Amino acid sequence: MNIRKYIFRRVISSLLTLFIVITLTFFMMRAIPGGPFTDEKAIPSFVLEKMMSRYNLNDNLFVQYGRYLLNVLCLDLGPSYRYEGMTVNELIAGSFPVSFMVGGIALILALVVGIPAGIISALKRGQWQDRLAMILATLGVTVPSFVIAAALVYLFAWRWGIVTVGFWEGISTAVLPALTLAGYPAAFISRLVRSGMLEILQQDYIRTAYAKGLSERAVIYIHALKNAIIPVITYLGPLTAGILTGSFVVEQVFGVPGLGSFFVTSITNRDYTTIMGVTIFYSALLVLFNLIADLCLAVVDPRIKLR
Amino acid sequence: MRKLFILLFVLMFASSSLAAQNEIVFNLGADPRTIDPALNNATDGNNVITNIFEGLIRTGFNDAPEPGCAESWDISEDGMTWTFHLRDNLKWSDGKALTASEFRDGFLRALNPETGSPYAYYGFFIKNGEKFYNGDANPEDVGLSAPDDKTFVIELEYRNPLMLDYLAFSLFQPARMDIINENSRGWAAKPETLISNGPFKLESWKHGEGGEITLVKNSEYWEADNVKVDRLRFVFINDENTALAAFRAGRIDYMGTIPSQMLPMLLKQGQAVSQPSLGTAFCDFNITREPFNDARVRRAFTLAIDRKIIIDKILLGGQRPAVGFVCDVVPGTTPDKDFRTEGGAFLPEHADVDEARRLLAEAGYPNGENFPHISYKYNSNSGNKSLAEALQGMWKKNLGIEVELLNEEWKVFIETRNRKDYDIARDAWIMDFYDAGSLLETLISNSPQNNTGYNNPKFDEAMTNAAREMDTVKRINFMHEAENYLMEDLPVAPIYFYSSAVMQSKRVKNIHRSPLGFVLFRGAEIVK
Repeated sequence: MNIRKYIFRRVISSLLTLFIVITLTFFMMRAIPGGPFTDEKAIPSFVLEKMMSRYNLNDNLFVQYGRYLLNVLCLDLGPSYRYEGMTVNELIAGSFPVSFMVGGIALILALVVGIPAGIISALKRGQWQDRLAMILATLGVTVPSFVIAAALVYLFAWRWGIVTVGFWEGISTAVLPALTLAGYPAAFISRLVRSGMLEILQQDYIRTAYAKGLSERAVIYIHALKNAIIPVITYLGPLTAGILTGSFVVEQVFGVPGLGSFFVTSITNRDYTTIMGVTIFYSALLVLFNLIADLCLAVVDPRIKLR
Repeated sequence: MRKLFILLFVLMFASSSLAAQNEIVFNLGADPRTIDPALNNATDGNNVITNIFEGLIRTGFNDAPEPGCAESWDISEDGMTWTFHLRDNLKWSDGKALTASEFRDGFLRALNPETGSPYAYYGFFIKNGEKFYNGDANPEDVGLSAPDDKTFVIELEYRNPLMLDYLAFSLFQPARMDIINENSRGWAAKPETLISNGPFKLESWKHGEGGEITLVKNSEYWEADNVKVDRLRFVFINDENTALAAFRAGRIDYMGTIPSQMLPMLLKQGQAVSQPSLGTAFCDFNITREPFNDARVRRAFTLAIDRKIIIDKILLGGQRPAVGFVCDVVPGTTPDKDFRTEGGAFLPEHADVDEARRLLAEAGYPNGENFPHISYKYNSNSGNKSLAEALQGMWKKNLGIEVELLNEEWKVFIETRNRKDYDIARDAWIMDFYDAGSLLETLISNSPQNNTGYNNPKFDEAMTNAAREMDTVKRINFMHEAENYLMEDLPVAPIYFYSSAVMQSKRVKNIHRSPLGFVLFRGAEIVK
């Protein structure tokens, strides 16, 4: 199939996916008790009425839904109910670059550590290198990020005092959060690569390659890795979308002004437009990176047909 | 290569030096929803507003109202017209002269229904304020006028004994309508348009977790000579452990966000100081249905609580047992005694188990037999959980009654409690004003804060009398009378009086924290 036609079809189906996400989120969110102005200091009902009407929150829910859809089509995510005077577009534009930087470092770390670790442990199967890598990988997959984060804060900030946490000062303060974020994916990638390599190293075509007199290096890096990397590419689609949009826990612990916190705080604040905005933004990234991953797969593996 | 790495590492972390010389870092804890004086109703926003704006009246370092932009004022004989005389040469932070008509604009904006101010009703003491808010009067009819640039007149709808406290409240600020009209919702979110008239002005605002608000000294402020600090950084570090780590590293100078499990140790070591805070924590009883429609049952449950143990074994933060509803520190009729000392103790510090059991038996539940299944609801939070478990244990041990604990997410809980869908619910109230009425009025029968269904006409009447009484002694005595009714009926079980702990670095002094919760930096200094 023609690649343009393929992309076109995927974009159409992505838009449909986004539409379903918007609809489900919109109505589920409005079904939660409490609203943006629910507060311990109860606002008198006549005041509340006026505040709600200013945001058109008193209209029929379907009217609000329709109006929201139209705004989204114009890429206008609306005003935040939590941050007076800020639009959701501004909130995302202000915090996404931070998450992107932290996530980007984490992603690179995860690949740079995970892939070699997987290859080494597959080649040294059963030896100490393999055992060590797999112990670390098991830890990485099982230890939750808030434990890693707390441990890093304890060591680097309390014990050694070489970093301060809670302040965002660019790349120097991005290192610890990035390390925390990289833990799980690095471990997962190394396991994917290891099992892929182990399976492929048994294959006939590898034996053939050796028989042809190719060097071990060429066999492993050109012939084996190319196949072993396929599950990693598939995993990279959702991983990239997730890691670049930040993590609530990591941002709380390290004081990173990223996007991840908004996924949680917008719900506790009932900041409807922000809930919708970050959900749509994340979904769009997810759909996009899945598409990119699929295209990369087709490049790496000619057997895969785009349909 | 290895050396290069070490060098890189050092360079990367070199920026973690101490706070800059003439700058104070305060952990605000949360990113304010707004710092628009007319729209704010939260403590975090108030902390910013009180440092960048100044009304006619301001809060002094003795926590009493004192002259702010108004130098003096005259009161008409009938007490219904107040004429304020502004200081000379008042200016906005952009250098423009500040006039009396801008106070009128600010007050009218707070009352304007279009603004949607959550605290607009605080302006209803102004003549035709409520009518204007409800759309039944024009702005010209409201009792606010500025006969000249330096004179501002307020005519009253009714006499308000707390008039000066109200005017010191963050709602009542002057407004620059030339700026606000351009962007009525967003002007206060951006430093270019947030022009203010207080000791500091907004320099930047980065939203969200890890963000911060920075304020710089306003050289146009009338008392700028007394403002010693050039810059304030209000950071939003929500995680208490992270905040403590940053404080220890010398990055934060002042904060109230302290991990509760560390607090007893920090207080003991003198690193944190606990101050009384104006608020009471209590339980609501749902008096609209069985079994708490019976006053004897409410009293039994109230007496079965051991307040002292809760404070000494669970809270550990310098709280005091709530032996009445109005907390200590609140002013009484004379300066040497606070309201609580005057009113005396209605409840014992420890549980009165015998009396509690007697009352329970009298109500028809000897030893807790045949008592209906009831629950205690609270909002999900580890501190609330410990308190709930302690209460559950005390009711079980002292009354023989099993109370189920149910927790709900914050906003869900607020609605549940407001709907009276509970038997016993956690509640607490932090006062807006330095006055007992600020706490008592929450239980007036038609108050939106009254979650219990309490409706005692005698209590309401005493509170109405207090609200209109200009004589301080008489007014406070009306409130004592109201509290007597309340503690007889016990729609709520007071538990403890709030305290708040703060940590302050040795490099700063004269930061003033009001018991109402906001922190004033206009007198702050850096020691070294």
